[in-house]
Amino acid sequence: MATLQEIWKGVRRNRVRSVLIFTTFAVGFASVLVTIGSVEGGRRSIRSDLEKLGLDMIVCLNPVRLGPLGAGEDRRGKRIDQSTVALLRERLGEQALAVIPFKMELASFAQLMRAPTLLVTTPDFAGVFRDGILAGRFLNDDDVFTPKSSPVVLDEALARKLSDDPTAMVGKTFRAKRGGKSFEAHVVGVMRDPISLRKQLETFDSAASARSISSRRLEFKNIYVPMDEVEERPSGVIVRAPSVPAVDDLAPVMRDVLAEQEIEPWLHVQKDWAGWLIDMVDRFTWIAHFFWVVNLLVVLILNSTITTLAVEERYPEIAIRRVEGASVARVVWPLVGEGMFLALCSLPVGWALSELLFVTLVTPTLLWDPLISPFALCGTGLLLVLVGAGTTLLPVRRVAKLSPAGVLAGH
Amino acid sequence: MATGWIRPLRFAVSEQLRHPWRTLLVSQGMIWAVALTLIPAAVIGGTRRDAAERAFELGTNLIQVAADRTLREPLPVLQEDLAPLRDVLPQESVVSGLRVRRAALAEAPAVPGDVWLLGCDENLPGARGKRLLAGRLPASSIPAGTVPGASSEPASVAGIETFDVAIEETLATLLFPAPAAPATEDATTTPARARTDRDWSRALGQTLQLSAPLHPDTAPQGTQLRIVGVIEDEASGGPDPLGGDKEHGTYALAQRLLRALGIAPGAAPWREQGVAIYLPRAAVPGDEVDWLFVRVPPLEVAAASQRIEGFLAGRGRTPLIYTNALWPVLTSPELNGYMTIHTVFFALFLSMGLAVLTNLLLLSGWQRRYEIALRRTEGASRSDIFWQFVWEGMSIAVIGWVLGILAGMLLAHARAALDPFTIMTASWPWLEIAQSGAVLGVGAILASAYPAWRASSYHPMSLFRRS
Repeated sequence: MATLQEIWKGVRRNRVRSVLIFTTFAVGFASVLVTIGSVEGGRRSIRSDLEKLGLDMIVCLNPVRLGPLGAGEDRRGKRIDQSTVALLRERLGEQALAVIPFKMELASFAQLMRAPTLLVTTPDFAGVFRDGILAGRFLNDDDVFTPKSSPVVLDEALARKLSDDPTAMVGKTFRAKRGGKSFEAHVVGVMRDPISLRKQLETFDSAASARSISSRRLEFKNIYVPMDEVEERPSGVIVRAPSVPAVDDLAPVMRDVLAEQEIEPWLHVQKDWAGWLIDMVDRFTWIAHFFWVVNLLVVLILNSTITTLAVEERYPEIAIRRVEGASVARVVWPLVGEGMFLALCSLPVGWALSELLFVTLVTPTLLWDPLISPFALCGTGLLLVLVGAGTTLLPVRRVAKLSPAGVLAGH
Repeated sequence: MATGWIRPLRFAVSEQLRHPWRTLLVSQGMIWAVALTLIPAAVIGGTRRDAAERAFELGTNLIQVAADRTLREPLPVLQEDLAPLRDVLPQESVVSGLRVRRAALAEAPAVPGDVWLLGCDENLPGARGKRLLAGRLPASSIPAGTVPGASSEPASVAGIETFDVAIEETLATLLFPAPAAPATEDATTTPARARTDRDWSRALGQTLQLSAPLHPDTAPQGTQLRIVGVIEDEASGGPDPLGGDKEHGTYALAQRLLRALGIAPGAAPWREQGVAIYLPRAAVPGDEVDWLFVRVPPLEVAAASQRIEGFLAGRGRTPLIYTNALWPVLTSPELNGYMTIHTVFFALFLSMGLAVLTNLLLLSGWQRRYEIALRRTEGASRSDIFWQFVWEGMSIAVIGWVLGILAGMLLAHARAALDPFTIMTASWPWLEIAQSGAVLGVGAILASAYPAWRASSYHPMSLFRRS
């Protein structure tokens, strides 16, 4: 109790110095938390976005020249057609939740400079969306595309380019072009955007126009158009597994069925693809981790400097107390306690400051929520308290062991 | 008058030099605050400036269009699209189309494989950015009834047609190596070595023969190519259509990532082998244009490429548009928004740095109280003492500022060197350097003011009495 009183007295007696130490610790703690929170929050958002693209799906694309695609090799063979879709449905049976044919094309309409993608598909495609519908409905069995008009469903990101309120697009009609031919598109629904990092994607996905048209499905800026399953030939098939682990069993079966048909397609197992991308993200996150480690080191250096400077001022006080008969420990611990006390008090303030920075500046800029693990929060706090204690303990202990006369004489 | 501030300044600097390590530690916050401000400014500013000034060389004003070959039925750009396409682009745009065909040369053992016939027009050098090294390009049109050689009129003499062509540098090296120099010349003259000999006049006027006629119906006996020019090629390197530096250490990783995202420059061996022959587009059979090159002002690249895509999609084509992948990011207004994060860290580090500075000056004033008392009894005014401490604070801030500039520029150059895109570079951001200096200076004066006031308010008599 006496030690606590001494600590409090010490803090009050040197108010300016205490405020400076307290501020440095609080700001340092906040800066480390802002770095960690931003990095980890970004990583979580990317993971979540990738997962929402559907890890339980295998996309089978037509055996085409895939030079510029991920597989990087030419694959040739028979084309997927509606009979392939029927065969897959029959052979996969209950192993697959749905077998969905689709076809990707480029569309065009006057309101947009960049050509959106037209995804021609069946009503089953609705199951691909994890976040469901935003307004209206998805395509149903009664919807038919005719060369003159068609019901269409828009992705939210595309609808936002046409109207500030994407839900207001439902019921509207606009003229679009498919294969160079004009048709009237009646919007019957808008699908919710599964990509939370849309702003970042718009800014940094600068090579989107160089993306192969087949791969643009995952941009979720599509116009969905009903497919005539009898007349139209799909360019690919999406197979939905009942669960993510079931994908591993489904892929070989699909390969066998297609091989029997002499079709050698490119199977895009979204789980593996997303896994690879997450692995890349993790690798790049290490660079960001390096940044916060450097940040932490600088903060520790600054905090230890300010504590050491503060202790230096109190050397005569230490010497006088030794002359009065106080033991080394009796002299050292109140000062160490003072350093720890100031560091401990600064932690909640630093944490509150970091929250304030997140709310007012960081989150509105990055558009993702910060993520600070309890380990990072406690670990950083503990490190700062240890620095507060350590940088006080070492010089104070050294001075307390010296001859008080020498210390008072300034030697 | 001058000595009024020079003396305290000299005092202040010598005080810092007496404690170099302490000065370095105290100035940490300022160093990192300045460095964090300068890194993005140096990289973004340098790249923007270079990209605008050297747009032609770096390709930041270049849009390249090719059909999406990943589709089973790619619908390429057609000859008929070119004229209306020009109408949707800015007036100063240069548009050129290439028709690409593989062919073989007859009686040319020096050329190991096939060559590429590139049907072009007169805008090609301006659009694609390749320099003509010797001679001229073939005339783009083939007007009827003109004399062969004066233009590119096919001369169907005894079933043989002749076209004026320009060949690429590597092909010229293979076909017409530099004559061996006497005595000192190494017997094993390689094409690369021969390329150093830039006198291509020996190739001009020579004739090549295609192994199969281009137009068997009208000229069944064969096609001759008369060389009228030599043109620069990409065999010795150069950026890919997205601006990636193929020689860079991180290029392969960036390519893998882009491929996983469905983006990759389509295989175009005609670009990389250096064995292409340029001839009038009308001379190459077909009506499609395999590659389209468009030059627009750098700041209009993003809008122009969207317009091209929309226009071609409206005509039922399936184009892929390649532009420098980094340039649109750097010109995006959203990028400035992300600078807020740097401002946050600048403010955090600066406040920590200034708190440490204040503490140091408080300690310094306390440690040197007897020195101050002596100076006061010698006649120094409170103002002298006050300014001495302010100068000390300022000198630490200046040291932190200078070291921060150096650290920031070093890290900015390292960042630019790690990037696989050719346009990424760093330059000195003088405005930001001046701004950070001003903010730091004002901060240092404020941080020094209280310790300086406290030091100047020590009364000499009371100090001596206490001692």
